[in-house]
Amino acid sequence: MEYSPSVLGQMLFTGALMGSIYGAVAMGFSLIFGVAKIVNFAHGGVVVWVMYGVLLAARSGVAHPYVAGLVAIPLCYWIGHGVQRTLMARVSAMSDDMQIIYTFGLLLVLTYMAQFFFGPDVHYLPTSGRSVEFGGVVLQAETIIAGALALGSALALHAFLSRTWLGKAIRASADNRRGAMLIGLDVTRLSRVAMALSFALAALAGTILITVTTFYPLRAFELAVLAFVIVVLGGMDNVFASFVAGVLIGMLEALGTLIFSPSIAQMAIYALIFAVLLVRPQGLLSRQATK
Amino acid sequence: MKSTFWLPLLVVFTLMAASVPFWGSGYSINLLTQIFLFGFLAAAWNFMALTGLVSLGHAAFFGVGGYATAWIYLNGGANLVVGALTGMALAMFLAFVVYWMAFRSGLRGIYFSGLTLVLAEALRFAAINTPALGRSQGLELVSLHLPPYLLYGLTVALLLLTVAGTWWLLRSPLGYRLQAVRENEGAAEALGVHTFRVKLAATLLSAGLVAIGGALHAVLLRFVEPESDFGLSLSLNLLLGTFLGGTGTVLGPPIGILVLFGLREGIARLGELLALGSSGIYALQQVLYGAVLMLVVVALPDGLVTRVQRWWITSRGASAQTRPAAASPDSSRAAPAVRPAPPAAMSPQARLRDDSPSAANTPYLEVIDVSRSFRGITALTNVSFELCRGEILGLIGPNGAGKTTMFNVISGIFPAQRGEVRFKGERLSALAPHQVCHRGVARTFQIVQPFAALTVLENALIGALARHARIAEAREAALAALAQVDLHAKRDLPATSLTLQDRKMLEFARALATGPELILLDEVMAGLNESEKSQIADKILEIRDTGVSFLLVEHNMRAVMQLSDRIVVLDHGKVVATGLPSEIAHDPGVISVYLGRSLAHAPVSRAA
Repeated sequence: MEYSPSVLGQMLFTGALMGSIYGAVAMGFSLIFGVAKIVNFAHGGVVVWVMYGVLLAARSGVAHPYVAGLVAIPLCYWIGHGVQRTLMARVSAMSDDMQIIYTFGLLLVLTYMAQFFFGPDVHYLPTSGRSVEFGGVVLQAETIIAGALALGSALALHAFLSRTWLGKAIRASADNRRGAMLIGLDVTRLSRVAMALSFALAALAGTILITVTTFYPLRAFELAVLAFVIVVLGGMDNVFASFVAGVLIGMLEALGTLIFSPSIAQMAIYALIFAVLLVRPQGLLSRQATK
Repeated sequence: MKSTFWLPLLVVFTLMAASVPFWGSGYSINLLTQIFLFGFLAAAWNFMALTGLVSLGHAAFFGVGGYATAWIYLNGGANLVVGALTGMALAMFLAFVVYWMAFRSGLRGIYFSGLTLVLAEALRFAAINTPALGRSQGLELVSLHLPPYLLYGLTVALLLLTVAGTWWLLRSPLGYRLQAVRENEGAAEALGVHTFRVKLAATLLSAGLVAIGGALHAVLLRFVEPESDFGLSLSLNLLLGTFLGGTGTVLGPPIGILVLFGLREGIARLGELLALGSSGIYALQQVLYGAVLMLVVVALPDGLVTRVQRWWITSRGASAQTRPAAASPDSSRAAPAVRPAPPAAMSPQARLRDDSPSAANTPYLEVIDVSRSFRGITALTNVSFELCRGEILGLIGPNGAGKTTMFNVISGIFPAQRGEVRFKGERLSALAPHQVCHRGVARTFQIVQPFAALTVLENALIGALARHARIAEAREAALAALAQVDLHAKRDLPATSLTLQDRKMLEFARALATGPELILLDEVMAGLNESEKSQIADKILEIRDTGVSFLLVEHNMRAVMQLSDRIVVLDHGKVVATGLPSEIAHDPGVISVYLGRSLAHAPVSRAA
């Protein structure tokens, strides 16, 4: 088979844009892992619930998906705050293993609640049909907007974490929880802010995901594993690297799909992560040295 | 004795299970087969959990077993047994390769769990991609006819065997070693446990058994399919059953599975009443599983069986005092062997040493030109010293001088980058910690690290297993070691109930139980008061008189000066002085780098 440059370009661009959405999902996962040391597999469940919320709003004609997203993001921010106060309050003190089990439990609850209420069927939103073409590459309007929003959120989050006092405090407590406590940072409150931000990112990711892909309840599992995979690739506690790793995974997936098939692409990604975990568990993009 | 309690239970269970075919309906037989099958699977998963590692990917081995059975049945002459055994072999090979690499790179916690998760997912997509395996449709075992009750009988037998196997394993040397690894891998390694091999053994056993379960499942349902065989739900169900019942317990995993199936059936009945439909019922069941998982973590982290055991013991009150709750199953059998061995029995090569250090002048421990750095930061530079047989050598120096690094190099935790360590002429520097222990060099840790879930005796037993293959002999040696440090009376208490002094003594006893010729003591006196310190000092001298040598890192100057025959002073990773305590105390160089002026007034009673 021959691949014309335009097909290749098409796939790579679409892959990168999809990947940046994956990156947005993974950033939320990475943020809460870094700060509160919670491995939150339930993250995928949150994304899927946002997708159902946006779907219902759009289907019933209440709001355009983007408008619904604008409501979902602050709403999820406060829900995240509340979740960290209640459901997750004791989780950071648990061992790794207990955390994983706990958040997997929450993921099961969220996923199958969605299946119970909305059924196992595949849903999607009709696209606007508008597209942009340049140099033989045709991109759907929604995909471009989604990529732009994801990139924007990554840059905004990066700026927040590196420029603002609150962001620096969050990074400090991610770096060294005890040290942060000792210099008077309220780590509990920072964890709540981080969880709230993580939920807000999940809301953003859910909103833009629903405009470009199909979904169903078990998508929550796939997103949870995907977020984990991306975060491993980027380095467990580096938020911006997670975004970059997301883009990489998206491009890899697109290439694999083009050359082989979607499921071979998935398998290749898992094989890659498998190797990364064994050879460089601190992440490919992390500058941290091995312990 | 516990075994007399189990036996009737086992007989009753077997009789009941055997009677079901005479009165049970087809539905109940089928349900029981599934319960027993999953009980067996959870018990197999439990072997892995005994190492303290959580696998989210046992579906990988389950699926390999199922797919191998189905494929061989369809393509290779319909032989199910060959299929199941091939599946088991494949799964164990896969487990060997994956875990070998994972343990080599030291993956723990989320990284290990994530690796297992990714393994199962990769295999799921591999199955979806392979035409010979039916892609996402899977394989169907068409025209399969089995004698009635064959599968039922098989699952009953496998469940009984695995439960009995767990019971036996927990009482075997391997079982004790596994518990030590779970509680504290570093300490286990230092006590001569080949942790790598122990972990690999448990995980291979677990993977092989789960593959057999996968084969049975394939035959029971007459199909294999990527999602149900390699999917996350299967791994999570096994995990949930095991945690609910109690990880590391004998009966916990099957009991957890039983409770889960009870909940599942309950939801199914409720769903039928409410006319939810099968999809709704399934969703509700999974929601409940998730909720139970969360609840178990928060409210019941040790599991039902452990909780009931603890309740049973406390409700029996004072009579149970000697049988601590968290104790692992064996402490009752320890009771008969109350016979403090004479200290002289400790060391086969025991001899009273000549009081002057120069008399035993043969090189014993030799540290030759050892260097070690960490990412450019030099911890040790060309360190050389010798320790003679029967000597107590003090290793001192200010914080960061490299004392603990030196200990870690000798005990095999870090290799030396240059130079070598020899013990009785044999190179230690290339050996792993457990090998160093087997050569007769034991150590204690600065921060005491008892195996928390084990009793005092079991703690010492782990050490004794380094030179005794049989539990009974190891127990004798452990009791002798405990007698030497006056912990004999507390042998059945949980290690966590000890005071700091007793914990230090327990560290000591564990090291002694390995039958060492040289003991490295890392700040054994830190945190103790004066009378406790002098008790420890007396013990050290007493044990030295049985022929054991000591290398001592200690911050307590008074003690070092009194105990040591000779002293080596380290500063910034270099040896700055070596000599008798009296010489060291007055060495102006030493005083200037480290000791300050006050040492000139320290008592130097043992110095010549």
